[in-house]
Amino acid sequence: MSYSVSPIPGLRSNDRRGLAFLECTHDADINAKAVFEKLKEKIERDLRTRFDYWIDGYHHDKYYHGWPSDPRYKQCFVFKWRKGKVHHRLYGFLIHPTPLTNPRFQVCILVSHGTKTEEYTDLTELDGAKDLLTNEEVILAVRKAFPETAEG
Amino acid sequence: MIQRRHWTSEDDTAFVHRIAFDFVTQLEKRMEAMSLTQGGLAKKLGVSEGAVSQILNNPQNLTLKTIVAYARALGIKASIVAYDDNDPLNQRGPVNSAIFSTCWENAGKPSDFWSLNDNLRVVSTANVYSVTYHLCPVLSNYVGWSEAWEAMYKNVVETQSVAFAVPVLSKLSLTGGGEAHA
Repeated sequence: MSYSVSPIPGLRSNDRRGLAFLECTHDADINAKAVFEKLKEKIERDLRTRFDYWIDGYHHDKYYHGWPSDPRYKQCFVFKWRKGKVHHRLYGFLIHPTPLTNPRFQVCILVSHGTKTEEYTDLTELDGAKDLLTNEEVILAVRKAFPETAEG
Repeated sequence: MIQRRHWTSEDDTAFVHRIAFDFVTQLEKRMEAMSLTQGGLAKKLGVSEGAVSQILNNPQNLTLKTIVAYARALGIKASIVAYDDNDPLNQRGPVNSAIFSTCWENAGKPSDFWSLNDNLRVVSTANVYSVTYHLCPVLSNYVGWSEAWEAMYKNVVETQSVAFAVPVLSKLSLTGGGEAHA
């Protein structure tokens, strides 16, 4: 399988939310994990805090958000930070990997990194993340990483 | 995917980073609610906008004095809370400080232990009424609705506690209320 899903070391899930990276052996655009691992300590910790916030259910659009009102991108998600004048984005998609044992458990699978100079997200950049949701190999990789269990 | 250690266990600076970030997030939410810019906050503090930006973007070196100064400039206060969340190995990381402030607000913003206890009693009674309302239809399968309500109400008044359900159910059972009500 060319796709795999890997946890983010040091980040904990709860019974409502989890976060992980998608990796791919043949697609250089799937680079969220590689970018995250090269971040400087301060930025990495800022981002980890944003991850914690989302997992804990803290609402904070400035740090991350989805597009629940847009039918095209309602399963897409983005984490944001800024360094100087450059706006950074980690794009991903949302999925419920355990519909049988814990249907409310939601995972954000981070896929790609992008930069821009305007604050607002260009929606077309989400197409890549959205398309992965129709890829059976990707879905299998997610379900392998987050299997159905008695505890969910 | 079981994570053994939270990233804030890496070293003390990681933990400090996280709780400093929590504090700044609270400041920024307050500034947003007040429509106050970094320049506006700088003016209130009597410092440069760059100094404010430095604190908000790199809060890991915050001092208690700076915490108090920034909170007071925004018309709020700050507290240091030690808590035991049954996580001695820090596998889950810190509890978000916004959870503490939200709980305090939900408890009626008590300013002393008298009002804390009074407010908790009010909240508890509200919970009891809520639970009573939902349990009464269940109990009415065993005894009459009015008898169930009366028993619940009496228990609420006597105990001021949500721990009423078990004794009430036991009592009704012992007094022969176990026959299904048509």
